[in-house]
Amino acid sequence: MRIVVVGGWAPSLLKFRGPLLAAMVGRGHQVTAMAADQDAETTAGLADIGVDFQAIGVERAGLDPRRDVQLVRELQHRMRALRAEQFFAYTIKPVVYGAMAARAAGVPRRAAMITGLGYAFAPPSSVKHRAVSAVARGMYRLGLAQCQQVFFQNPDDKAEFGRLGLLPKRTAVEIVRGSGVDVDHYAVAPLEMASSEGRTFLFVGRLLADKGIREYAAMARAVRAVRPATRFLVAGWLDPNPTSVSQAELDGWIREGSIEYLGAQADIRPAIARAQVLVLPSYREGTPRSVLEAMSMGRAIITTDAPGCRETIVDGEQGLLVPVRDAAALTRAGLALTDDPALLQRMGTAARQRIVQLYDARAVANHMLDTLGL
Amino acid sequence: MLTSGRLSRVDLSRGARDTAAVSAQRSLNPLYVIGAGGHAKVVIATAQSIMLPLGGEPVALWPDIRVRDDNTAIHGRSIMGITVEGDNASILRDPHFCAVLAIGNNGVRARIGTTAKCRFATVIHHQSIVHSTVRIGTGTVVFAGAIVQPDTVIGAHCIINTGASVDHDCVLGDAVHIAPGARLAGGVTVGARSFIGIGAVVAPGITIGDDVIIGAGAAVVRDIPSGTTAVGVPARPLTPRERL
Ligand SMILES: CC(C)(COP(=O)(O)OP(=O)(O)OC[C@H]1O[C@@H](n2cnc3c(N)ncnc32)[C@H](O)[C@@H]1OP(=O)(O)O)[C@@H](O)C(=O)NCCC(=O)NCCS
Repeated sequence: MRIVVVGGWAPSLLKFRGPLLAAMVGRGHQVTAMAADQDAETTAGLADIGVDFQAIGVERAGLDPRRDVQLVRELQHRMRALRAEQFFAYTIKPVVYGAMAARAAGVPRRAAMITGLGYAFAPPSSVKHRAVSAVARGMYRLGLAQCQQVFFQNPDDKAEFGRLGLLPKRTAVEIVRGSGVDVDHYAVAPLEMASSEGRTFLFVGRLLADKGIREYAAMARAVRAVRPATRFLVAGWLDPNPTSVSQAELDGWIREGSIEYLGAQADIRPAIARAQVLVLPSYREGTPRSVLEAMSMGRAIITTDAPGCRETIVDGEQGLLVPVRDAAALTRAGLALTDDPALLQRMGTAARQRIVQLYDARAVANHMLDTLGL
Repeated sequence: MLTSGRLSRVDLSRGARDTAAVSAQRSLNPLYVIGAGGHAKVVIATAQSIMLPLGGEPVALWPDIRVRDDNTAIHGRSIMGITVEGDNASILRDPHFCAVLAIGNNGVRARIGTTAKCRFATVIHHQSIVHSTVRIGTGTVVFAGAIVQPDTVIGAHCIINTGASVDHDCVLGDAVHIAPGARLAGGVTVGARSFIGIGAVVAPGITIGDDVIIGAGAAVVRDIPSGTTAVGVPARPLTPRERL
């Protein structure tokens, strides 16, 4: 079958959907992947797994209706030229515009994956935010109406879409465990590799308020006040997103010594290997990849009792769950793990086991393809 | 219209209440003090001394301290304003609870420490001085005025009592008790479950075995083999005759 996969950001095709694309090729389908921005590395990587790449004009943020109309036309044209039989997209614009284009191009099978609700579904913080949210919801309603199958990454997102009436009745819905994680690529890194530097925590992600970066910084300051040898790493970057922290705020944390800023990492594995615990105090996620990757490498987790986060671990077994926006609880959890190396070891081992059992990317990809009847 | 509006509000608030209940339970994270004797008072005071700088008013690390003891005769009594609420077993066997052992007997602490399933807290007084290079085992308590110097390693469930000092490069096994005001010089090794009496001093580089008792005020200048009790200046083993 001729499959077209559309994503927003080119590197995500390999990083997040690589195993799914490979499984499609493995089942004998011809696969064309599309995303914004031409990227030589992605093109080459996709070619290696037997997937063609076409760059399209998607912009992730921003709402310029004229460009969006152009985009739908472009997608429609490309899918018709390819005589695509199955359309699959993830992230908001590819889902919405892609699904409309696929319908118009006569692509008979259309599916979407909701990878995380993000800013548009967070509790509105301003009039503008409320307006953006309303537009985003309207877009999803339009797009999903064109799809026969929708995948969610966690039960909360599915429930939220149902509650907001964004899911047409005849659309089939399936919950998958994110995109899973490549358990060979994220192989166990012995905890001893990390312990020589003292107790080390790691945050991975864009420095957004909604990811809980401020709670992480507060935790770093408080834990270090009572356990000065403890280290708090940040592997991430400042983002144009409206909830991003400022350079000045980040500089303040670095200057006072609370956090050590690693910046964006091409390969996150060395940073995970240096730490014993990955911390993600996020307010909401689809399925947080950083958590799965760290678990796959045998690391304990501290994350929030929030949609998408709470499913990744069982509280007390692979790590600790804390309430959102609660720096005190986060600090207590951090201290509990700082002070108990045996617990860290046990949780790290349990984390790897859980990933191998439930989140192996190949199993997740096969689950999706089986659901799609591909 | 009104009805459905009210209904949905009720549903929302119920959801919020459930989440809040879970949150409260987790964020309070009670600390269970196991044992309700005099030593427990100091463990409680030590736990209460620890405040977290979280911006604004400092927040207690353990805002909810509870006390347990297997002696049913004292259940319901109050210690430092905290009611002794029940026996130990239900706490010790549950991995969701966090406890600290306030039991003076080293052997008992060691036994419970290795068999219990609960988590243990390491409780270090706000006004003790513990160098950042020191490694301290889980469940150990360090009281006010104690000083622990660089590169020392302390085991689990130890007691570093009021005003004791443990100098650089010492190695203390599990469930060791350094009594108030005792002083270990640099490079001293103390085996598991050993007790260094109040005001005792231990000269540099001395090795003290497991299950040793050093008497109050002793000056230890020679190595002490496991299982012995030594007293005096200089410290000598108590002979069986003396012990009769
Ligand atoms: C060492 C110790 C445990 C011995 O207790 P014990 O086995 O009951 O011994 P006894 O009290 O029967 O004493 C036996 C002999 O040793 C002597 N002795 C006991 N403790 C001594 C000490 N610390 N220094 C010198 N001599 C001591 C006694 O005077 C007695 O001598 P005698 O036979 O000539 O009269 C105890 O005396 C001691 O020093 N405890 C320290 C308590 C402490 O530091 N507590 C702090 C808690 S926070």
